[in-house]
Amino acid sequence: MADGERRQRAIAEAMALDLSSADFLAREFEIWDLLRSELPVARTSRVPTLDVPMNAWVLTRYDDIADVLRRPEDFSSQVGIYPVRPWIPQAIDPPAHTAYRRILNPEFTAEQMAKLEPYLEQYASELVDRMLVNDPFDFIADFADPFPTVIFCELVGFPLADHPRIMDWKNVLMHATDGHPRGRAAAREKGRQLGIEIAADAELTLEQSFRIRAAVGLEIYAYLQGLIEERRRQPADDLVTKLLTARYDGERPLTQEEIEDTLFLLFMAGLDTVASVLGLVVKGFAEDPAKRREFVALMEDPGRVADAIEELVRYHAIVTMPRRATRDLEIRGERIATHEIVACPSPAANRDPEQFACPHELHFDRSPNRHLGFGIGPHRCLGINLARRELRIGLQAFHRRCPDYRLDPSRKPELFGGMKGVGSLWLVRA
Amino acid sequence: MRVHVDPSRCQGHNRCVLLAPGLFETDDQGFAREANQGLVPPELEAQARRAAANCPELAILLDEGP
Repeated sequence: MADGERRQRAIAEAMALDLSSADFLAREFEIWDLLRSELPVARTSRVPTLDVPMNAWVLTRYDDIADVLRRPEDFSSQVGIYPVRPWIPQAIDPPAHTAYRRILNPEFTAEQMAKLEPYLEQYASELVDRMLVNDPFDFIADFADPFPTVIFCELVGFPLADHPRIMDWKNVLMHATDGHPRGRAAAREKGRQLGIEIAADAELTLEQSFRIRAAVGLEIYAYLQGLIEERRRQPADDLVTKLLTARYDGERPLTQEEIEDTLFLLFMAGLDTVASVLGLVVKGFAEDPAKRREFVALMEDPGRVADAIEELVRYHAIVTMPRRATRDLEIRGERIATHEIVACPSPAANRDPEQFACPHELHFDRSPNRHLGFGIGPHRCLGINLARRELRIGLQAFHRRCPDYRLDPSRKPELFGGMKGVGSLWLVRA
Repeated sequence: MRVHVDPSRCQGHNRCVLLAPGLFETDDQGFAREANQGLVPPELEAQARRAAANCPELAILLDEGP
């Protein structure tokens, strides 16, 4: 293809970029590669992951994305897309962000997370035992979804009995229109309850999905208020209780709204991410038995499995992080106007050949591997040590009992995009 | 050889602690700092280089020494 033609194609791909479409998910890395080489600072017609139709920018080079994420004073996390109030600390900039993180960081250190190890091991192997009673089995419904979310509910203090309701809320809020089967169904059900007319074969409009998500947002806040009230009366050994006694900057207690907005963020970030990566990893292993065997052979070696988990997080990165320009500025000569959104897809950064040799190959001992799967800069994933541990223990527990499997030929995996993941993954034991 | 973690750059990814647990430790916020005044015994020099190369924030300084 002539250079001019490739560039024209890049411009068209960028303008039409829709991270949730089946077409994009089928060609994702081809599109990122094209943009990275032809149009590393690309204009697009709607904000990726937020699905808002307005001019935005999308970056694809590792260096550009890392640079934007390290400059919160120029690229704010206050992107203004939250159905009720901005989430703390994700949508807050320094210096307030730093003060909130000082409260949360100590609860998620490697030392704190190591205490969960026996419980994680036990729960993972229980789930695997139950899942493998059936063949074929759905790895998402029976393992990837419940494993991290139940752990997280316990850590934060959400009663286990509320788990199904919590998953429904999360699915509506995060996955109403991204191809997630349960998100789509739950959002439509909520829409009907609200009296919104939705044709059976039509997708939700932007306005409908925003109304539905706002209504669910308010329900979640009401739920959190109840939980906070309960812990005020009766403290427990959980994060809700810790937030009630925390001091902002060591001076004042958190306000009711600050506690709610923090719990809201934990709710969204903690319920989805590890499930998504587990789903993508196992789907990849089902399709590539040689890689799976390579992983199974090294997974009991503590040093090697830690590197392998980092590589899997690089390879199967799921998050695209939006930032808002706080002033007129330039990236590679392109003029970004104040308030324009710049999208930073970690899947694109993590496949940049300038940063990673053979980026489209899994190398379990890759070094250096400065991947952006957990983000970079001040907003680096708070749950990084929990996520690593859950991924390792989850993958070990599953592969110890079931080292050989393949996709169920009669049921294709259902993928969703934006915040990427797998909605269902039917496997048969080989 | 000596290592030093630049506290203004470290964001607490904890990669160094995983790759070279004898050379780095974390504080109660999960941020890394060098252990043992940053002194690297000869047998851990490869680990020190690996930790520096894998820090996403490029926060680890290596001083190869005389």
